[in-house]
Amino acid sequence: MTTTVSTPPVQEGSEFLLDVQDLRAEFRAGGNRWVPVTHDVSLSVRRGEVLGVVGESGSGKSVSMASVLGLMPYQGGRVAQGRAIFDGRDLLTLKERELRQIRGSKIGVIFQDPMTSLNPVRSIQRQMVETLRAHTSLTSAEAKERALELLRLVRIPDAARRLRAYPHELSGGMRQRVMIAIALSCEPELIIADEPTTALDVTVQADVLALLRQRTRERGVSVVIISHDVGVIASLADRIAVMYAGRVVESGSARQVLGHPQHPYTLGLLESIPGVKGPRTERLPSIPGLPPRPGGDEMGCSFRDRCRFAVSRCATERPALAEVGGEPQHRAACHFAISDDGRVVPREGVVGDA
Amino acid sequence: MPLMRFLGARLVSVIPVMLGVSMLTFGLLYLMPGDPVLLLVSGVEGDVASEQIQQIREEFGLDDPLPMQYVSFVGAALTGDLGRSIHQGHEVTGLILEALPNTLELTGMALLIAALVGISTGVIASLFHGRWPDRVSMFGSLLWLSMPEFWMAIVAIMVFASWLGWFPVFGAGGIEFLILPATILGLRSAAAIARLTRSSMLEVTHAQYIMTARARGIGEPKILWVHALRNAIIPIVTLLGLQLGYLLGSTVVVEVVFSRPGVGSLLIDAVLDKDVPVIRGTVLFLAVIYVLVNLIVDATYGLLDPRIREAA
Amino acid sequence: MRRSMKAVGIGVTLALLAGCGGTEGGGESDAERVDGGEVSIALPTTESFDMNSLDPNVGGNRIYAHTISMTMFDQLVSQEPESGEIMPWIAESWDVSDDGLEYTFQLRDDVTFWDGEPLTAEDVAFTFERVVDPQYMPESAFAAASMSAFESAEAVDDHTVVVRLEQPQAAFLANVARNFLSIVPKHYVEEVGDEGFAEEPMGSGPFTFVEWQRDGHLTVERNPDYAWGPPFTETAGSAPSVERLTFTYVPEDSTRTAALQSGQVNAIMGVPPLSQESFEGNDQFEVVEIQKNGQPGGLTFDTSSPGPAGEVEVRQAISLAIDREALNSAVYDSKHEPAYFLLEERMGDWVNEEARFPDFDPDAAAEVLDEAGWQEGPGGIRSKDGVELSLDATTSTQMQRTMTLIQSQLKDIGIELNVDVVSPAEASAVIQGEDNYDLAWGNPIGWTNGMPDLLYSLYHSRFIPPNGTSNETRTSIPEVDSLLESAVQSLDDEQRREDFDQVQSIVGDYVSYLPLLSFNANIAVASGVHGIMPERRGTYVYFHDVWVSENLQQSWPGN
Repeated sequence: MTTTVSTPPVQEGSEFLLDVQDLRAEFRAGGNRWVPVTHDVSLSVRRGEVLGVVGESGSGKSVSMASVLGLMPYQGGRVAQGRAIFDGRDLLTLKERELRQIRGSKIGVIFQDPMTSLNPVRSIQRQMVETLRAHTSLTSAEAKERALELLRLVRIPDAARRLRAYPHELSGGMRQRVMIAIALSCEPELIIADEPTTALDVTVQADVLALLRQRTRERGVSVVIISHDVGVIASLADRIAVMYAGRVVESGSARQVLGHPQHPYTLGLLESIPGVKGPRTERLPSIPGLPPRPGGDEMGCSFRDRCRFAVSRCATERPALAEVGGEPQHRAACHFAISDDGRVVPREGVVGDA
Repeated sequence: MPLMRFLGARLVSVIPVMLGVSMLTFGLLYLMPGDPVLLLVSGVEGDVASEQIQQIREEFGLDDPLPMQYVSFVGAALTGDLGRSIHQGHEVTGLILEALPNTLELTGMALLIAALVGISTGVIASLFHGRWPDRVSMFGSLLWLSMPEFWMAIVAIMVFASWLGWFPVFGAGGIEFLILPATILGLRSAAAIARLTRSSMLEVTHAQYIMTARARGIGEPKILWVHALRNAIIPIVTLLGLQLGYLLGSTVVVEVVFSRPGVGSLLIDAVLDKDVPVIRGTVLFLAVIYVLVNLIVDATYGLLDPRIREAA
Repeated sequence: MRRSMKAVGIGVTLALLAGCGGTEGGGESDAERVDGGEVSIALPTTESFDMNSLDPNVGGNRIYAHTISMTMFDQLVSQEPESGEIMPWIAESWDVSDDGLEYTFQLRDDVTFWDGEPLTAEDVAFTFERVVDPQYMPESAFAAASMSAFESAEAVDDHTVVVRLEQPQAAFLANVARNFLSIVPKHYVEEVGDEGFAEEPMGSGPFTFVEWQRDGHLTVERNPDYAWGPPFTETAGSAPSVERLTFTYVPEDSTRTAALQSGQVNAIMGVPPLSQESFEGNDQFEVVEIQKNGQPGGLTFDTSSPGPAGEVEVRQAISLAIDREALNSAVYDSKHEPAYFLLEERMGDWVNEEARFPDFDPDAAAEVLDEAGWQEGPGGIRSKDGVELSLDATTSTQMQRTMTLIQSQLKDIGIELNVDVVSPAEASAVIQGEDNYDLAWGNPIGWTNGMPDLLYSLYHSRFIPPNGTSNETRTSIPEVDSLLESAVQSLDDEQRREDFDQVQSIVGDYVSYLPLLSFNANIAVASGVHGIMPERRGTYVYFHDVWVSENLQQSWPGN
């Protein structure tokens, strides 16, 4: 019932701030039919760590986070299985009222489009004050004062005037700074940033990312950043999880995943950005084809139709997410391993027919 | 101040609308068959010779060329003079002003009922989207919309006034006279408003900022009544403005059935008499009210939606 | 039964009217008159008649405005409702010069307006000059038309007024007895002006004006000083019994019916035919049947039409082919009466019994058409010389169902009607306009008048549009013209009767107009409301004798 702004006591011995295990989220497909959109997703974030979740749209990144936040019922979905231990409590078993105390307070959220994320008919001040007052015992005046501080914190010039403005009166970058300010407002332990820069001009993307990085680092706030843009992830993340068609297909430290991608999909993503990995070509190669539709066949590797290395086995046997190359914490879900020069070799104990 | 500039701009745009309305009513009346002067003397037993009829026609300027009649009509109307009733001899402006309070009372009450019943039904339906309260209210509103108002009014009189005796059958006066006709009038609008509120709410509740508000830990009641309804209300306010036109028009039926004095019954009498000055005066007057109300509606957009204020 | 009404005396008539339609009529006419109580009356408006002006002289022809103004004003003379005999009222006696051009009226000396000022010869002269003043046209057209022979009025002394006519007018006294000629107070009209008077009138009548919410309700109260009612009223010589009358305007039939049933009012005029049964079968209500005078409702033909409607044989065939009983029962639940004469039967001796229109006989109708050369053609529609027997029938919305039935009846004898349903305004424009039409049923109830002189307006060629408006049938028969001229000027009732009889048979044979239904202007009241008496024309009502039984006074709170 009582909420607090002070940092919650760190639980000794808990390795992860958020530990998601075997998450399966489903959407209603009419009547009583439910279609799974994520399969056995496991993700974890340590305290103070930045986890980047990368993947194409529809790969289940945002759904996983909505599941963790308990927002699936509002989107016509549900969580069918899994756990999401946050700060020692399984969020998936909490009541809505308890979740509401965590959302916006211990977990701050930043969404993709700051234009649509802010209520267009309410001023910035109202929306900030409203959040603060929902989670703290600040008076209205104190909340306004705090809101002003927060705007200054996210480097919004002329903050006092901007505070009274409506969302449409601010630029996209300003709006996203406001969102960051709101996410930070109640001293969260975790910020979930879902495509925070996608809707922004390229020129302000870097600023916003830098701000996000700086303000979370200095507070020791953990971050889950979701993006389809490997570049964004690369610039921020300590660890990376790559998602494809509702599954985590590769995870590991940023250095490992970016430097030694072990899944063909990750490789494809990296090749599609200049200067990160792969041969320099005039044209950026992109991954041909489309991801499978949710609810399709359950057999085989879901990436096989677009995979340049696919063999017949990929259609019959789903590769498990397993540790690769003896590197701790680096996992990939592929029957093959990829060498640093881009060659594909079957994993140990696996006989290919390629 | 942008709001004033916005209103000023809208006010200017009203002028061509009013010119169009006045021309239309003016023109249509001349297409309407029947001679008001002949009707006036129909039933005279004996001598109404053509020169007398001619005299009346001249007095009312009915024989002048149409454009001339129109110009003198508009000229006088600008000074608030809508002419004199052929049938009653009274100033049209006076007749309207006399009838107006009752009509405003009726439409105002009806609009209030329409808004209260319509919006709450629509919100409830959207909350229970796809479940029985939603289906019942949407079916009910469809059923209500398809009932002729005239018939509903008579049924209401039979049941609530004649049989149960809860309300007076007809007339105007205190609140007890207002409830039945205003409800009949208002519920029909309520049905339309409920349907729009529901779809508008459903649309808004899927908006990103609603999800964001939830992600900020805002409680559901506040999300519903403040975040969602505040946004959903914008198209509803537009509809309310349009409904006012419908309500003003429907008072013709309701005022006659409930025998309430008002602009509607003034108009219907005038139409039966083909009392041209009264018809065009009343129609023009109703059009002015309608345009003004929608101007007010436009102004409220500015209050409801800061984006519109800027755009103007 | 109604035929016998004109023969019986006044007292019996009153009893009949009071008890008519009641199931427990026995106790009603014997009941003891008591003072007090209130009668609240809901008035219909069948067309455009409403209460826009309470000025009885120059306020226009509005049946219900006149119904109300009749409670507040007196006329110079009165007309006994059944016999039509002219009786004293404000004038206690009068002399007519031998040439019929000068009337000298002696007024009562005890009549006062509500403000206590005496009603004098000055007021009478003022009233008469007022109605013919052209500045009041067109609202005064009705009053002026009934004063068409008027030359001047002069107050000789306080209680003597002399009226001169330009030519003799047999119906002059009957016209003076009409509500258009209600005596108004000169001093008051001059003080408040015409508009002020129209909104807040003052008279010398049995009830005084209290308030008028325009288009809403109007209240009048008993005039305690009143002692000069018409001699045929029961309360002549004293003030009315009922304390207060309230009139409200309820145009919608079902609302009016419900208003009486719910007790919001205790009398309604214009009982819808289909609701009449429910009142008759319920001892809480009584229906007072009031039969109209003048011309019955029916079809108006354009006898000057160049088409088939201009052919007398076609009109005669139509007259044979319409089944009045069927119309009455199908559309009106048989609540009205079939009409077979050009004048309402209540006109008594003025009706030429020999000029009765033929009974329904479709075979005879077919024969008439056969002889006239209208041969049956393909599709059952007759034709002659390549012209189809097809007529345009204009009807107001109120008469649509009746006209549709007529359409099917005429189809049986090979006449095609193209029914055109229009507003009452359009219908009158068609009938009274300059262009030809075929046939029409515009004004549902026909013309209302207490005197046969109505025939002069209806069938004299000088009133054919566009010269006049009232000869809607465009009947132009020189013999009829001269008979009518003689009749309206003659002071000899026998001569007048002969002339009018002849007009009725000539115009009847010519079928300018086809009378079909007599519409009863019925009044329904809550049991316990007594003494409503129709005026001569049957459209208006005297409220002088109204009283409310004690039971009803207690149980009916009024609003």
